[in-house]
Amino acid sequence: MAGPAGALTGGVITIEHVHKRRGRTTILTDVGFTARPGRVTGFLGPNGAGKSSTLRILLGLDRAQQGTALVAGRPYGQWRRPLTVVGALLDGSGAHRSRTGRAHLRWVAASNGLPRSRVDEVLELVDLTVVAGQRVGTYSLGLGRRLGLAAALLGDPAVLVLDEPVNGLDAGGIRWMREFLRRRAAEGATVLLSSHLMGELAETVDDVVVIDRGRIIAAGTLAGVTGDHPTLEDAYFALTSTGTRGRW
Amino acid sequence: MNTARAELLKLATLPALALTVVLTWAVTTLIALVAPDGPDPIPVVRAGFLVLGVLAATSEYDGGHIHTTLLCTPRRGRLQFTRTLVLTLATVPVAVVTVLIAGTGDPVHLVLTTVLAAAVGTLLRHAPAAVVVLLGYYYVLGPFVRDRVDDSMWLPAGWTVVAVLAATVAVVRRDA
Amino acid sequence: MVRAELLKLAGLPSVWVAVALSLLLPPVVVLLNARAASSPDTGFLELTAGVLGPLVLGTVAAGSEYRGGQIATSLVCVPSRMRLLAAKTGALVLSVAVTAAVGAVVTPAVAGVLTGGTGPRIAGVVVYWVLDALLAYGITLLTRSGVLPLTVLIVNSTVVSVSFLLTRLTPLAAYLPDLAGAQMFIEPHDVGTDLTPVTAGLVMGAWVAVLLGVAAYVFHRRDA
Repeated sequence: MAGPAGALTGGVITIEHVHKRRGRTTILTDVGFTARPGRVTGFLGPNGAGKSSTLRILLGLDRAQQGTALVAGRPYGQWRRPLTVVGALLDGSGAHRSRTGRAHLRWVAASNGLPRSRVDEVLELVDLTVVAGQRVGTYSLGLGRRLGLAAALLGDPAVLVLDEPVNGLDAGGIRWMREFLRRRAAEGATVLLSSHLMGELAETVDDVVVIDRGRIIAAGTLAGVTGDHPTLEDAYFALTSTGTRGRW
Repeated sequence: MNTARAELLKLATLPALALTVVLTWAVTTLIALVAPDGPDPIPVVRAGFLVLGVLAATSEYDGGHIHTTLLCTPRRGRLQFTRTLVLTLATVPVAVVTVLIAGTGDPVHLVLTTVLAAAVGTLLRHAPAAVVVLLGYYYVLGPFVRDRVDDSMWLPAGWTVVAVLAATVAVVRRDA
Repeated sequence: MVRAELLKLAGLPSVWVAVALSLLLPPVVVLLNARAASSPDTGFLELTAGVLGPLVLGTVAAGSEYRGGQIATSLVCVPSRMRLLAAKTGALVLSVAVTAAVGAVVTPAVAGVLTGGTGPRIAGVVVYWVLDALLAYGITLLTRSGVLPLTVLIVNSTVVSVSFLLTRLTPLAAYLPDLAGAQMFIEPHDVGTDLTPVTAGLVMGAWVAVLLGVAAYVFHRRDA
């Protein structure tokens, strides 16, 4: 369980030699990197590069043919109350459209033995209290994402794993998310987020991991990966198969 | 215990399940009133229990819901066992009330039907597909195929066990 | 536009499963029951097993629009909702009619009862399947869920249907769409009211027309 604010001790995320095939398609080849406490690590790559697959393997949703993916020293599936260790935000809201937002958070809280009072706290935190009694099917994309974030924060975890966290958020929401993640990292949390938006990422992250066609092609501090290029975006285009005049 | 509580909360907060139960009871009442000495209403209202099981299982596959469930409870074998147990227990009162209204029938049989349907729903992950397979067998193909073989007790029980095991293996093995 | 709707249908695997169901199930049932005593309905009673296919087709034609927001794409392509609905209905009628025409000839042929005199009954099967698909389609448009129409129509396609039980309450129940429709091609059950095949078709057609009218009105009015 996380300690009081300012004294979070997020565990290290360690991914080593992960290989994943689906049928005959190779999704990931020897993927490995670490994300450390107190830092925001950006996981960067074009569409279909393997970002989501890597995060899903880390969270025990998909299985790798080889390799290990550990959160604070253990596979995700071996944590007894995982929500108190890791908060995860995947695409969509993760909720059934005919439940209310509050009913969704209540069963999530119950599944990890979290007190019901936490539901109202996180609803307040993501500014969803007003619509908490409405069915999830009536939510906009942005509201759904905020509900997903609320579920991720229920257990007050010191490790956050977020797949494209700013997708669907408006300008205010993006700024809120950026400041929130920076604050959590400053408090000692481990934050791993994937994105295909470079400009967005450069303003938020300390470390960068770049994946392309299922392989890690660069990893290090933001300054280290940017190197001699003027911006992270330039470095990204130089590194990945996505040319500025490429497929698009 | 936490998982069981969460699963019970899920069942209690799905409007489609409550609606299915109410409609099932309404149709049972209607048939019992229309033809008190007539044909057995249970074969008709069994459809309600099939739909109940299907919806309870396939609701996990609406949007990214299954991801949330597996993030909360990553031990999948235990998760599936608890889900099955909670659904079984929650269906008992529904079945008992139905049998009381109908004045005939076996509640255990109806509960097993629901659990079987949930297992098929888990395997197919798609409510309309599961409904077509189950109702298609029970109502369209079955009457031709099993032709005057009355379904004895061990048959649904055996099929339920097989389906539950298959569903558990599928949940444990497949990528979410 | 009917072509676009036919392409939409053809792109869905469940549509091909439905077609296979309609064409394969009844002959298989005939072969399984080959030793049973033949009745005036042999070869046609078995065709009721094939009705699963049209029900799935009707449900899929309407329901697939409501998965993944396809309805928005459709309405952007064809902004006039009535034209979209007309094209969709046309595509459904066409595909079910073709499937039914093949199925309704193959099954009696397998059963060895195909003669010159069975023509009208075959026509009855085709009309019945098309109308049943339209019932499923109309209910799905209204509820935007496939489970309800499939459950109601599959359960009611059997001899223990709720409609049949209702005939004990009132002979008017014979005019419910499923009971009336079936009289187009099989000898009536003991429902109290006998309809000629043509009357039966008109009764079921009237039900379908009313349902589609309501569905079209709702589809026209509500937000996609």
